[in-house]
Amino acid sequence: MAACLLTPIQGQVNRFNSKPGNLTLSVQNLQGQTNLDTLNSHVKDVTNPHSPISVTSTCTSTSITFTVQGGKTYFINLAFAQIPPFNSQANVNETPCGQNIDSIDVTNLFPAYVVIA
Amino acid sequence: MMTLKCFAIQCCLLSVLSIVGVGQATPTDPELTGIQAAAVGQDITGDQTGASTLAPNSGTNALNLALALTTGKPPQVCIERLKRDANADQNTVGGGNKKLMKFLSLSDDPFCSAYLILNSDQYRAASKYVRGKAFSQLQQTVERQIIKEVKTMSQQAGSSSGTGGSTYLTSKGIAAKFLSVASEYGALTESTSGQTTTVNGTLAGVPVALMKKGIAEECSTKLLAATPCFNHKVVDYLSRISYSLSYDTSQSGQTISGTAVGSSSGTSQEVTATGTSHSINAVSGKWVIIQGTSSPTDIQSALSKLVKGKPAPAQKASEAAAFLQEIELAEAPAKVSKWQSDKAQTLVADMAMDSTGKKAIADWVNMGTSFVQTLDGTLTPDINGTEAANSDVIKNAIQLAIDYSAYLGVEEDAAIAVAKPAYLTFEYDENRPANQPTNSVFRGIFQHKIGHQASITINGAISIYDSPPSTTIPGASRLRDAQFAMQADEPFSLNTAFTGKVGMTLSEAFYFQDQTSPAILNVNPGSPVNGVSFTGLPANATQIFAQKGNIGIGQIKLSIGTGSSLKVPLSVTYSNRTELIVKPTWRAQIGVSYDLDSLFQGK
Repeated sequence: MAACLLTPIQGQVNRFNSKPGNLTLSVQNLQGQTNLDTLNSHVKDVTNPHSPISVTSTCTSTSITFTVQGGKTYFINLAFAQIPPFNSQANVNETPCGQNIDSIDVTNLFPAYVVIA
Repeated sequence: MMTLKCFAIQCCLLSVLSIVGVGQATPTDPELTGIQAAAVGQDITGDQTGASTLAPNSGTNALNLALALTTGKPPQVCIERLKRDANADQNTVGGGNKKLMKFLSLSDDPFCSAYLILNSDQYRAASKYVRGKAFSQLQQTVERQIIKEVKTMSQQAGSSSGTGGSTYLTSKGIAAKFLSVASEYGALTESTSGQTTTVNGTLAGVPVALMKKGIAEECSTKLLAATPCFNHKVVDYLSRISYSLSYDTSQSGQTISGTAVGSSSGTSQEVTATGTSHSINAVSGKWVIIQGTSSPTDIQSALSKLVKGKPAPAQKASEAAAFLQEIELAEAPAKVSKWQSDKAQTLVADMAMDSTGKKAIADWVNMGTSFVQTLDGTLTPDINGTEAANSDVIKNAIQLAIDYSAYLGVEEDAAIAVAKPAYLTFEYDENRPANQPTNSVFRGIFQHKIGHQASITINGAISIYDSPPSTTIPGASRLRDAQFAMQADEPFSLNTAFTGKVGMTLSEAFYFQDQTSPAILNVNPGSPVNGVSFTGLPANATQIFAQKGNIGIGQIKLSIGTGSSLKVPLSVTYSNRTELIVKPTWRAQIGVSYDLDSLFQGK
């Protein structure tokens, strides 16, 4: 099994330490269908919080990928669309290692994560 | 001989709801400053010192501030998640209450967190400051928007088969999503063709349109006090019930005819006057009894269309969420994590004391004030209304709540629009054709998909006269006719260098009608039937009837533009006779339809 880049920071929500490399977060449908909103999902380099820099990412309806560089901090905000809207459920997993990062449902269509490399 | 007889132009309109102005005072009113000026539609752009405190969501104004007043009861989805997460954490020893900490996080539950902020003392201070001016105006605005939405929505489709002016041989189980208006010319089963305008839609049209505009919510996610809510399952069921009204526009005006009664008195004569105007010539209702489920391909296509439509609420909610999440995750992570950990412990303890969750829910709704202060230390519980109303945290929480709710409406709209096969449908038509006795049609509609794309539709129907026909008409009975129709549709596409890929549908249809009772026309020698001339009709005749018999119609139709907004149907139809004319007829038909709905999508 491939090694994961992300390690959750204990006692904190949606904050992760990361090894450098190509990080891919993928959608796994559990109930109904969930798509990543490619237009409203973004990655920013917030190493210097006063001057955030947009990071190039590859975003499809099922995954988002970007390169994590050592020493940098990233802010990821994702947006999802679901049908049916009130009882669909999906997981966000790190791939290819399969680590579960988050659950997406009607209350969590716009999640955010901080990744510290 | 083939004749070009029918030309139909169909158009549809779907209203775009706009926020109407609510202000009665002007922003330059000397008594209005800062947030008060915002109450008449101005953005909150400055505090009392005049310093700019513009938030990323500068569109937030007092209308939104008042609109965002939370409902007394927390959203059901939040109550359910709280109970679920508290129970899970209670059963995970040494787990650090991870699930509840996520529940208390803007980055993992922006919806319930937005509710929490809007239930804080700081938000209440802000809304109290502007509520007097804005809230009553807000209620009027919501009412006006609802009325406007209902009045102005329109779309297109045709009338049911067998109604005057219909160009369809079979009825289908699904009507237009919202209201629709269509205009057709040329009947297939009647000799007297007329111009017919049809309004139809499903009962779900209005609730979904209101949810999409953010002026109604789904009940389990009801966040805002000022908006009504609709249950998702009820809305889904309402989408299975459709209606239509057809208006005979070929009747240019009311025709009044008079019959002399009694004897004349000099140059004067008493008459009995009767009107022959037929405004509404058909009323129909359909109920999808057995409905299939949407295919994954159709859902995927609807989701792609939703995202490509760039719905404004998605972008605004995403921006507002990101603003708040950056504070939580990047600016004050240690402070927020400690708050989440402490509050999660409280909620777990609550659940241990009261397994119904009531104590946990009561405590959770009161955590908003400390949450807001944790996000921004200057937002103390006793902050004054002006400062609270100008806070970026409050403004973005309002924007998040309003646009999140509207986005769920956009999703519901997309979900309702996803094609669901209607396997079995019941249809009732009340036909009121001009110059004919009114009749009722009871129709069963069966649809089935064959292979990946082709489909077959089968109709069976009986038609009865609403009142017994005259006994002087030989062979006349209450049962007017029995109908059977079948249609096969095969979508395909052509790809040429000149046009690119063009979607088409080839349809073959067959219609059979057993005319068990003669077709009857109401006539009046003083006011003849429009488009029909009679020779040798007795002066006292009030009804005429035709020779009864079986009607058989075959049609081949090619619809060019399947899947696009512009469609051009071409058809050739043969019938052995019509209800009045007992000779075979050939017809060629061409139509143009344009779906204006596409112009408004994503706006």
